[in-house]
This record gives sequence, structure tokens and C-alpha cells, in this order.
Amino acid sequence: MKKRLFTAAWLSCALFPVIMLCLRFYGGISIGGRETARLFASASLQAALSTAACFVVAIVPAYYLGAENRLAKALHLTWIIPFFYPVISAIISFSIIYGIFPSFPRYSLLSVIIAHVFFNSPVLVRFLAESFSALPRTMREEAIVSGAGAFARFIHLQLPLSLKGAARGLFLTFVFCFTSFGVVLSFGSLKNTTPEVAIFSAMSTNLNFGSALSIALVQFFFIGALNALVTILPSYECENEIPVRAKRPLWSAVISLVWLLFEGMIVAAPVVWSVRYALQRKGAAFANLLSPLFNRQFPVMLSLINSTLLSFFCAALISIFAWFILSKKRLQDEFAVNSLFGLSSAVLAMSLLYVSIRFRIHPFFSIAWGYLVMSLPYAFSFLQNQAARFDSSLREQSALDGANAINRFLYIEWPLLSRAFRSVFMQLFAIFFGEFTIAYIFQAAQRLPLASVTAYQLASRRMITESYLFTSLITIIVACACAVFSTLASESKSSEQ
Amino acid sequence: MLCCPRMQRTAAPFQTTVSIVCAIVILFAVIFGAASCSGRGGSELVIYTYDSMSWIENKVVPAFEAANKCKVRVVLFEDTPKIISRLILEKGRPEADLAIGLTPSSLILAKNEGILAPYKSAGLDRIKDKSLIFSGDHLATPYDYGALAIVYDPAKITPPATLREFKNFPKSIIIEDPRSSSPGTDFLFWTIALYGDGWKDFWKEFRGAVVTAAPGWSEAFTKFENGEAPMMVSYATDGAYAVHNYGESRYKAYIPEGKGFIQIEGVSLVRHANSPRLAKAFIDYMLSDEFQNEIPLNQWMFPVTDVALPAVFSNAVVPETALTIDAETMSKNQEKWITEWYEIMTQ
Repeated sequence: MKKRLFTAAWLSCALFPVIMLCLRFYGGISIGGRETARLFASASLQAALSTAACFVVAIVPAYYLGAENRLAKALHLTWIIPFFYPVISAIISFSIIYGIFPSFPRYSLLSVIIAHVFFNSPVLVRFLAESFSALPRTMREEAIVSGAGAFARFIHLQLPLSLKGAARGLFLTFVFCFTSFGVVLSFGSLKNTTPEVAIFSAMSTNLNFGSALSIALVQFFFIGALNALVTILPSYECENEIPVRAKRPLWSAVISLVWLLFEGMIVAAPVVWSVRYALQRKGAAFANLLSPLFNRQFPVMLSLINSTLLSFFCAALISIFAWFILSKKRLQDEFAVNSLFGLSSAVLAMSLLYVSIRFRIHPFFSIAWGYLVMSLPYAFSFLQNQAARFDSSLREQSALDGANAINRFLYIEWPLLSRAFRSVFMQLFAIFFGEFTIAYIFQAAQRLPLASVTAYQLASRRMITESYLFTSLITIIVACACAVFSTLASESKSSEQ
Repeated sequence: MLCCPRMQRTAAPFQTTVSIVCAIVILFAVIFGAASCSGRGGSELVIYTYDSMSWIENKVVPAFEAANKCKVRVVLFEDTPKIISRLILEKGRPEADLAIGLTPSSLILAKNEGILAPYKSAGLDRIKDKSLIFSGDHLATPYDYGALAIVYDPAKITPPATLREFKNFPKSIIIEDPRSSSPGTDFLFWTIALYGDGWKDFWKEFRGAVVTAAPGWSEAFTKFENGEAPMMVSYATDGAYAVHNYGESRYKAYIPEGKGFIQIEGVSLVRHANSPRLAKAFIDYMLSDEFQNEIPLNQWMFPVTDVALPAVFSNAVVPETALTIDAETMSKNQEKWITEWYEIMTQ
């Protein structure tokens, strides 16, 4: 009972802004209706097709990740694309590519699916690869020695070990496609929309907060139900085992390389274009970004500083908070955290804005609050394997020695898991730096300009060159941050060994 | 305490990290907390408006500040609905004193929420055409107006003479989504004003000509410039803007059959405003010659008072017949019309 209360308490705190907004506009909330049913049916179809396409595209690169070479390392780095790569840059890149083929149905289900494959297949590659590597070498060898054939090994070992990881990857991909905002807003047709876009429309134009909350509520329960299915799948833990690393056939390398080029082409497009334009205009765009006059209109430099501080602050705080919850190893916590996936970012942002106005909270803390709620499931996923592998007897022994939670964390968990914490910090930093939906809907551009929103403002006011250049700058900063923390993580790993 | 020597060594830098993180948290709390708590001065006027009105900060606000010995803070939003949505969230404890850029359709939403206060400006007498006063209860004071038009690339298309003929031009026009854009909503109103009860039949034919319904004007124009369609729904002053800024106009604007839908923009006093005296003074100022003279070349709309128009406005298209829908009909039907439009477009 006490444990459940703890879960309810932190979840209520996290969702306090949404609860406040619901209370303010509760009169207009009504669930159901033909339109809502049609909206969810069409979004489900789109998300299912996008997930299937992502699976088809991701399966070979995920298989290839088991190899140990530079291509596999490059494939591994792609996972951050969905998180840090600004949607607006991807939209511009796709607009250019679709423009090359005038007969391509630009505003259609197909164009949405292709964009979703770009954004979400890296996530699926990561999850599938992890589930493929879930069969440890010793277990595989023991099975072979015991006479188990390939099929038996697959059914009795590989499948149970990898089922939960693969299902979680597919679930995440489905959720990302189902709650897609920027891509659907830009490439979807009126028929192919998502609840997030419908919520945004209801809140920003019709100002029908009740209708927006109704759709958000249905979405929350819909994704919550899906999440419940994934959460109850059994998981198997293999402690202190070395995953299988093997050579991969040439055909898988070729397919993986093609996929990597596809991802790289979209990411590199703004960089290539900005270099091209910079050469044409002899660096005028770069000078613009640095000029005080330009910065008065578009706070480019200030937004970079703000985004760095906010991302640093939130990433440090959330990686520790996620571990604190995760270390309790409670199913209700896992379910509660994952249920946050279903929370509409548009509603969350509007709720934060409402609470910020109501209680005069500075945008910095309001947005940090939003990032906490939004990223907790990610932090949870990133740390889940570490938590599963952590030797809980150490915790029990330290408790017997009279150590409190802080001492335990300070002297046992941090030293043993510092690499994992740094890695999660890096991942969250990248996510926050490129986050767009909350920052954009929160409307804090004047009080707290952030990099992703400034990049969007530059693009929407047709300052294409500056926008590409700035997007490239963001990409480079995040890539550098990733490189620095990856190096730290490797150093930490080698020192531990 | 169970702890090996190696752990102790590793824990020391962590304590430093924790100290740094704590210091940063406290620093942020002090800085941003202080910023949040700092109240507004008595002589500050806060204006909520949309991006395109940003020119007022440099062109007219300094003169107003000097004349009224006050400080004006202009807060920019992406579009008018976002201003209203912010005012709804701030209801009862508003930060803003004035909201600039409200159209008749957005005024209805604001009126229903009770977030505006009436003010009858002494400058209303100076408005040349009294039909521009769209709020009889003075919840909004008009300061400019314009018309929607079809903008096209003459190198790519000879546009149809009437909107009905668009059915013969498949996938040729980009429109704005009326659910998320003011020009989109006004274009829908335009067709309703033009075809009356037959507007649904019109849209059933017209939808074949639509390439996409963009979320806003900027997105639509970017797509249009990218060559995704030879026509788009835009403003009648686009030609004047292009000639003024680029010396020539690559694109042309026209109003089919000369029957154009008039867009009027107004300024409103926010209910429970902190500085109502300054807010009222600013509304009066917006109807002065000083302010009205700045509208044509900054806002690219027509001033509401009788000031001289710049020569470049000869390139703007003026509707031969001005179409409007009365505020009450709009108020009753806006949501229903948009829902019906969406049904037609997704069939």
C-alpha cells in the first residue's frame, strides 16, 4: 500500500500541471464521438504501417550491429537522430528530396511513412540489436553442447530473451508514429492526421481546450493499454554475461550501409546546403548569426546558451531521478513511467504554460518540469538494463550496514554505474537540446529563447540560409557533446576493466 | 559502511559533481526566481501582438513612450489565435494590457471567454468607412484592413476567372488550413460569403484543385516558393510588397470576379488590465495620423483613416465588391462550418 502511495505521489507531482489544466477546463471534456473514432482509426493505421516499414528497414542493420567494426559503430550512433535532429530541418530536407520527384504524392500517407522511417527506424535498430544480443555466448555454447538445434535455440532461448526488448522497440516506434506532430503537420493530408495535430488545432485555433483534453485523454488511455501489454511480457535477465559478437555476411553490410546513407543524407542536407549558401554569399549568413543586430531580432547566441544550460540541468537531474525510481524495481513504477508515453506533448506544454502563468513560475523551471515528465520513460528505458544487471545484494548489505539512500547512491551505485549515468546524461542532453514541441507550444521565445525554436523561427521567416547554418551548428554541438561523453564513457569502461 | 578504497576514490569527484549541480540549481533558482517575482512597474504597458506587427517596437512605440513617459513591452506571438489562447490562460490575472491583431472571427472567441473590456475611442470618428467597426460593443477598435486574393506565378499558369472554374485546374492551389490559420478561416468565410448555402457544393468541386492545406500562411508561402503549386491563397497587397522590396513582382495577385473578402484587424483592451489608462491612450494613438501613416509600408494593409497611401499601393489589388459576414452569423456558425469543411475535405 505504502509503495503504491509512493508511485501515486510522484506521478501526481509530475502530472500536476495537466491536472490543473483539466480542472480549469473540465466542463468541456467529453470522450467519444464519430470524429474521435475516425481520428484514432486513421492514426492507428498510419502508425501500424509506419512501424511495419521501420521494422522491415531496421531488421538488417540491427542484425549487423552485432559485428564489431566501424560500420557497426556508425550504425550505433544513429539512435540519437529521432531525438536531437530538429523536425524542421528534416521537413526542409524532405521537401527538397520530394521536390526532385514532382510526381511523388508529397502530401500523402506514403510521404508520412517515409519520413517516419527516417526518424524512427534508428530507435528500432537499437532495440532490435539489443534484443538480438540478449543471448549470451556461454548460454548459446551450452545449448549447442546440449544438442539443441538452431530452431530449438531460437524458440527456447533467443525468442524469450529478446521478446520484451523487441516488443518495447516496436511499441516505442508505434507510439512515436502515432503521436507524430511536425512530420504529419507538414506531410500529412487532412485525411492522414494524428491526435497530436488535432489537439494542437483544437487548442491553437478553435481554442477548444475541452475538445483538446478529450482527445488527449483518449490517447493517454489508448497508449496506456498498449503499454500494459508490453509491460506484462516476461523478461529474462542474464547477469555478467558477454553478448555474442560475430562476423556478419557481406549482404547485411551492404544493406546496412544503404540505410546509413539514407539517414546520413537527410541529416547532412542542411550542413551541405549551408556550406553551399555560405560560399555563395561569402559567409554573410554566418556573420549574420554573430551580429548583435541580427541577434536582437533572432536571439541565436542566447538561445544556444539557454539550451545548453537547460539541457545540462535537466539531464543531470532526470538521470538521477530515473535511477532512484528504477532502483526500487517495482512493476507499478515501470507501468506508471511508461504510461507517460501516452501523454500528449501539446497538452503538457499548454498545461505548463497555464501553471507557469497561474503561479508565476519562470519558463526555465516550467520547461524543465515538462522535460522531466516527457523524458522519464526514455531515461527509464536507457537505464533499465543497468538496473536489471545491478547486483542487488550490494544494496541489501549496505542497508544492513546502516547506509541511507544517499550514501548508498554516493558510495556504491554511482561508482559502479558512473559509465551508465554519463551515457544516459549524454542521451538526455541530446534529446533536450533538440526538443521542439514543448519549447514551441510553451511560447517562451521571448523570455527564454531556445535553440530549436529559434531555428524554426528562422526557417518560418524564410531566413533559409541562416536557418540551415544554425541547424548545422546545433547538429555539430550535439555531435560534439555525444563524442565527448562517449569518450568519457569509454575511458570509464577501460579504467573499470 | 560497505565501501572499498576504489569506491572512495571514485566518490570524491562525484561529490564535486553533486556540489556543482547543487550550486547551479541554487543559482538558477535565485536568478530565475527573482526574475519571476519582479513585479511590473506602474508605468509599463504590455502589448500582446503577432509577429508581423513587430515593426511597432521601432517605428511608433518610442514616440508613444516619450509622450506618455512610460515603458512599453511588446510580446510577440506567432498568430492571433495564440494571443487569445494566452489571454484565456491568463484570465483573471492578465499580464497584457492590450491585444493587437484581433479579427472579427477571433474576437468572437475572446468575447465568449470574457477576457476583453470595452473601450470607445475618441478616434472612432476618424474612421473613413463606419462598416469597418466590427464590434458594436467596442470590444475591438479597427486599425487596418485588407483583402484576401489568389496569388499566382504567371510563368506557370493563367489562372481561372472564377473560383468555380478551379475544378478544371487539378492540384493547382495551396490553401491554409482554417483550423490552424486566420487566412485559412477567412478564405472559408470568403467562399461562404460568395456562394451562400451552396458553399458545400463548391468545396466538393474545389477540393480537387487543392494541393494541400498548409498549417499557416508562412508554410503555404514556402511551399508556393518551392514550386509545389502555381497558386496560393494570400493577400491582395502582395504585389505592392514585392514591387516595394524587390523592384518587381514575380508573382501576381487577383481577386476572382472582383468579389473580395475583407479582413479587418482590431486592437482590444484586456479585462482587468494593469495599466488601463496607458492602454486606452495607445488605442487612441493607433488611430492617429502618425500611426496610420506607418501601416501601409509596414503592415501591408490599408489604414482605416483617411491618410494618403504610398504610390506603390497602386500595385495592390482592390476588390470591386467587398464581401463580409456579420459577426453574429460568424459567431453562431464558425465551429460548425469548419467541421463541415473538414468532413468534405476528408471524404
